[in-house]
Amino acid sequence: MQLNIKNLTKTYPNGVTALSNVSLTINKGMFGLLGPNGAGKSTLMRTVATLQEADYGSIQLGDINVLEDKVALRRVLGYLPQEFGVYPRISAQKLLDHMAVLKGVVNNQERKTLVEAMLERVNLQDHRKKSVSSFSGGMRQRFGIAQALLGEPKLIIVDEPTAGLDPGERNRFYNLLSEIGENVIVILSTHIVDDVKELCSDMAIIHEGEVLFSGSPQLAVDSLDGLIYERTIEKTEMLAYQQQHTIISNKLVSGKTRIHVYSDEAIPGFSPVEADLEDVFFSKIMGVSTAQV
Amino acid sequence: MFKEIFTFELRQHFTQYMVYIFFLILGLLAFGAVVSDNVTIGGDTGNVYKNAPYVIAQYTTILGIFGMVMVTAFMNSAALRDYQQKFDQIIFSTPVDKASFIFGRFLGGYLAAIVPFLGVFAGVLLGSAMPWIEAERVGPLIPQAYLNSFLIFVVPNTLIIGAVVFALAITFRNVIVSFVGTVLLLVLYILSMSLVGDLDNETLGMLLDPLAIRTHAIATKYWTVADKNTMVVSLTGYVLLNRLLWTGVALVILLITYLSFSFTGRRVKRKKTIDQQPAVVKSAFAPLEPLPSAELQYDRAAQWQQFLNQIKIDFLGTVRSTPFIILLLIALINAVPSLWLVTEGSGDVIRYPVTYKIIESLEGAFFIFIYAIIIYYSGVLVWRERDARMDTFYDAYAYPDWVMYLAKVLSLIGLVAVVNLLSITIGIVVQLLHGYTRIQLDVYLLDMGMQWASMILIAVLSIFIHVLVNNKYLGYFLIVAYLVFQEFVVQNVWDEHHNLLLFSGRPSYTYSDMNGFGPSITGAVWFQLYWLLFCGLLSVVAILFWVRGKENSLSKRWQIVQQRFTPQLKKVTLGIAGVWLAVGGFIFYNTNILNDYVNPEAAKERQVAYEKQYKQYEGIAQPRITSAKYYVDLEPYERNLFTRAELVLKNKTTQPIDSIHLSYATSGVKLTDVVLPNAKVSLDDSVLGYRIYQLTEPLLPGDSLAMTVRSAYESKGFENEASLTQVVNNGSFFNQSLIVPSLGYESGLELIDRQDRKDHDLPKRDRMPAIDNQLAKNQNYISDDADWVHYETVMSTAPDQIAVAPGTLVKEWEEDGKRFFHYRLESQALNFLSFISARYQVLREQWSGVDIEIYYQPEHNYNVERMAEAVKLSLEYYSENFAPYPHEQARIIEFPRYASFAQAFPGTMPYSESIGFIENLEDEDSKDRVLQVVAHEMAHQWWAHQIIGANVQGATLLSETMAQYSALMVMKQHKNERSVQDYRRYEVDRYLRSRGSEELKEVPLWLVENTGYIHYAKGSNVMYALQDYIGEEQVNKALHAYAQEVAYQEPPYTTSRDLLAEIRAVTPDSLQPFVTDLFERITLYSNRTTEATYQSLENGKFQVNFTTESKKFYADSLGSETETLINDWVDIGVFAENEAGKDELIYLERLKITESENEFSVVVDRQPSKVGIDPNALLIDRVPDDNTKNIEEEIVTD
Repeated sequence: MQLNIKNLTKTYPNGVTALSNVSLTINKGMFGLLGPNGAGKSTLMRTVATLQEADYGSIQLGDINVLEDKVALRRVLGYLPQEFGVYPRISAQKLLDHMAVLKGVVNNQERKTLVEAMLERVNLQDHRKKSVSSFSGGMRQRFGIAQALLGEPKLIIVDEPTAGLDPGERNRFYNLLSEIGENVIVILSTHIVDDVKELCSDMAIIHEGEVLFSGSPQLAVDSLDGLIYERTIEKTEMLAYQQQHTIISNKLVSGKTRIHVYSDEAIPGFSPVEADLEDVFFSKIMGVSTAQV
Repeated sequence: MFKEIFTFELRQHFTQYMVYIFFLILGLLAFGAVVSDNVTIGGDTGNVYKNAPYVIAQYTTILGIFGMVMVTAFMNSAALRDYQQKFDQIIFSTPVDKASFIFGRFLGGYLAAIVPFLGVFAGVLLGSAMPWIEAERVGPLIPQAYLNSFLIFVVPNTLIIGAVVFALAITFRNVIVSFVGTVLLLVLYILSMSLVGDLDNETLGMLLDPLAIRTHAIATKYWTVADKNTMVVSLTGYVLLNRLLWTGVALVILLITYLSFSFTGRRVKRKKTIDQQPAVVKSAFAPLEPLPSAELQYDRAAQWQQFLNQIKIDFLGTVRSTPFIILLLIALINAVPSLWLVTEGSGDVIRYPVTYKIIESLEGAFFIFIYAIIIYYSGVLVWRERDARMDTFYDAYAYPDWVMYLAKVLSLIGLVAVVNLLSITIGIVVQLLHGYTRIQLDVYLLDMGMQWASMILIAVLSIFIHVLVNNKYLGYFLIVAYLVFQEFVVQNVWDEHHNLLLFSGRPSYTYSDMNGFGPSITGAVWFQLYWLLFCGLLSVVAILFWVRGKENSLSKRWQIVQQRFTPQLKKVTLGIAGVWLAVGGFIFYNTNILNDYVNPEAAKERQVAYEKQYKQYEGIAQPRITSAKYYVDLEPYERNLFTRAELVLKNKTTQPIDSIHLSYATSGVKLTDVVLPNAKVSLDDSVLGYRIYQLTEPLLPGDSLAMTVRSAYESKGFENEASLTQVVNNGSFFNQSLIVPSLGYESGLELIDRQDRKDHDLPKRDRMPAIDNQLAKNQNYISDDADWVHYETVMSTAPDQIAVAPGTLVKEWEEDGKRFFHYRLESQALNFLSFISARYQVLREQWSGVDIEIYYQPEHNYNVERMAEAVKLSLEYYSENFAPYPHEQARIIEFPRYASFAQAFPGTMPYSESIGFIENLEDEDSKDRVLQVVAHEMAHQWWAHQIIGANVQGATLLSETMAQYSALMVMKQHKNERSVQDYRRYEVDRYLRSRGSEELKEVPLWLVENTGYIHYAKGSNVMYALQDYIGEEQVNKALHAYAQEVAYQEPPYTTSRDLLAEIRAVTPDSLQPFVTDLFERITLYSNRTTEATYQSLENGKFQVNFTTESKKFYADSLGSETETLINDWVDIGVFAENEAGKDELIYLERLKITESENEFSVVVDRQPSKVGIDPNALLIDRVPDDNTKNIEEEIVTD
């Protein structure tokens, strides 16, 4: 099963181009969609999840023409949106049961077993009778993933799932995801580079509605091999360096500014470093050209 | 899938408290209305059973209006559940289908919304089973009544409101927009209400009402008490049409909603954020410049600046907000029809759009919106920062608390000012559009200013509650609850009426063109000041409790209060409190010490005590007044009145009289002195106002004695509620009963209301003594103190005013800075005199030696010539047909609009400024009520002031009905037929409508017990029919003879028996049964034309064929009818169109109808347009409109 997105284009009524000729081929496994805020990630996710229309282009999941046959896709979809609330005064178990029916699990006995198992899987079994609206952020996300996983979906879309979670919760979340990720298509959309680095076997970088890179993370890093140099400088020197070099990122380390610079050849005073995904990300965003892959 | 969504939705509703609370509220209201007479829903039920089918339908429909809000709440919750809880993306990405989703949510909400209405039925059932209700007020249980009300009103109305609200909510994803839908439905209802007020627009109004409330009311408007108790509203006629129409509309709305809804809807909330990446990235690497510095200030000037700034933000933010604009628009839509129609009075009269009428109309239309705006925006303003999640910023800044509080209060007040200014503008525009230019801007501003001040009080109270309670929905609830509580519980149940204790209470005032804002305005302003100061105190408390930060617990907030209550603030508070108490003290001094404050309930107690203690003296022999000289000293600008009456009392009985009893007033114009020779006071009850004088020498039969009585009224300060509007700066008007005590026991002072009498253990009271009551025949129904009296008046007033009393002006002079008038009435008259004084302009004309004088205000000069003309026409007709006019003058005098009637005293007819004087008669075709009223009052100069009936049943037939007849004859002579027809149509409608709200029992005309709907409305039609059947001349002959017989008679007085005898004397034998039907029975007909066709004949004429149905009924006192054989003379007629396009009669024949079904064939010369039976509606018909029918040509094929 493959998800084929071809030439997807969307412009909002206020003139902003959200997606511009986006084409991606996504296979089974964890696929990372990386981009800064406002890049078009959520728009793309919502369109694939049948909640939004596109101006032009096509999306094909196996036999299903997603844009035309929304209902067919919804039968095999698991979607965790970027932001969601819950109905008040209803328990996790009851709400999950309701969702299961809407997904199509009509048989009472099957559903009961499924709901129990799912709550167990996301570690909400002890809280199943409590009202979902009383859950903390992490617990709510777990509920969200539980409903997304109901009914053995073939395509799972998680949109910025770890925003607001503490490191412990984040880890637990990714463990859950990676378990399923082996046999279905999971698209993880995020602006956190480390997430993609840790989890994804395939990725794309999207910025201002355009795909700037698609391929494996390893491929991305390789493309910058030997082209990244590093130096620690004073804040006041920044302007001077900017005029002379292509600075792709700067960080504060123990109060001092450390810059990464892109260069074909060695620079005196700079030390070469191994490129990492963050460098790829920033260099793509800033439009620094790299070797074609 | 549908089942899952539907059951889920139901579960959500029924596990929350909203359904049960609404059920309880509606149930309690219905229960309360059944068990208590203090609670009424849609008006008093009068004589009808508490659980009658009509009453059940009435409660269901009226409570349906409150129910609209409930349905809106349920439907909003159903439509927006997923969006509001932000669960929509999850739900919509499942395979659920559109139909299941939409109809599942809708039907779940719909069923939940229906449940509260069942509370109404439960309330009525439970209420009627309560043991303390009298058995005679409860009827049998008729299940059909509940079922029909449910199916005809509850089910469709919930569907209609639900569909509109659901559609708007789910399409626009906005609660406010759906709320607008509700308000639009409400406006449609209000529009239909004003349409059905006019007979011509009734059917349109019945169809336009989406809740079928007016439809039901009009469909049952002629139902009598008996009908209301037994008949159940059914799905027929216009009710059926209305239900079909609106249910259809609802279903179409639902269908459109379904078709246009999409799961992939427009993303309204999440706007795409515009990112501006490239440029920013570069400059993020540049070193930062140091920021410019600014000085921070905290002094008073700075605080003032912050305050002004905050007002600007809050006011501009709310005045431009969508809900406010929408509310304003809807208020406008609501106001414009009633404003435009302000020129229409009842009975199709057209008036000038005078400023005070416009203001009244504006207030009526806008007041509920102003309340809604205040209540809603008080919450919005107080919670603004918290709702926008900006409170954490605001609370940590360094501005003082009062800045926020005051800015919000003033913004709220500003909103109200905007509405007021807008309403004034609209009012003026409407006046100008009607071509009326006397704008009176000062009146607008002053009156609106007072209204605005009252609204300030409510605004401060609302914000105060919100601040203290610190919970938005609880705050709203408490504000509404308090307002309801004060209106119903405090005033109606606890009977507290003193304005010092009722929040925002002040005396009511009426603006009169004659008398300005009147005597109440001083008090009103003081009370306003008192409550404004109180609100100042509330403001201090609100500022102390102002919420800043996250502390919610009361104890923590109290700590903060104590921190904030600085010594300086304490001083300010004490200052305000001091002034407030001082003002309160001053007010109390005025209302309770300078004046007597009598709680209305206590006043009733006094009436009860009076009856219980002194009724024993009813009917004892007392002398009667034979002559009187009145000295009236009026100081209008100080509102003082001093009077002296020199009376001659004669013993007209056959026994000596040994005591004189007086019933006198203990408040208002008080009795100050009585001079009675040879008499000693043996009893003086100065609380209830009863005094007995023992005569040392009894008064022998035929002898007289002199009694002098003095009264006085001195206005001091102001009162809680202005009581004496008869003595005012310009337009004082009172009659002799105000200044002279009654002789003997006065039954007119008893409690009249049935419920009141029952509450106080008083026996049932007959409306009027029976017709053959010999004792009662010894007095006329105007007064038992006198028969025919000679009197004169000397009246003094301010030098710039004219004083008028009945009689010829003998002398006028000035003395001691006052102007004196001496009037003497040449002939004898009833002891019923009016004393009037104002600054007048006078129109003087003459008719055959009679002085015609119209006293009017210069601005109200529109119709004075017509009035004089009307007087002349009346004098002409009446003196020719009845008897000579006994006085030398005929006066019409304008008085202020504290009352809106016209009345007849000997030769004098006071006429309210708010009727005739502002009637617009510029259009020739307009209904001329001026002629009708003037002719009616002039007629009383014969029928009442020469011929007066005994105080028994039927008395008002001799006065009011005869006056109606006389006026009709004058109208017939001088106006076109259509005018008369129209007038009669409204009178019949009034009669039939009023039968259903009869409090006691309906009686035939000859026994009328002083009820207007019979002696005016029914009477005018009976007399018109009579003169049409036996001839106007014959009727006048009878009246002339009757007048000759009984004018100025001494007791025993005449009764309707005598009048009937004279009428029968001129009636042919064949019509004697008709006279019986008209006067001695309650007779109703049902005449109907069922089929009508015509054929063109070869000779150019037309043959008209039609069939009719005629039935006749006699009704009993409660209105239940029995059919009787018809054996009457009835007209049949054929109409044709004249040049003006209107139908006119071209053929009329009177036939004896003995069968129920009849066929007629008539040949006429012109092409017919309409035919009918009783085409002139002479016989009172249950359904007047089906007498005639439009005619069609029947093509005859050979």
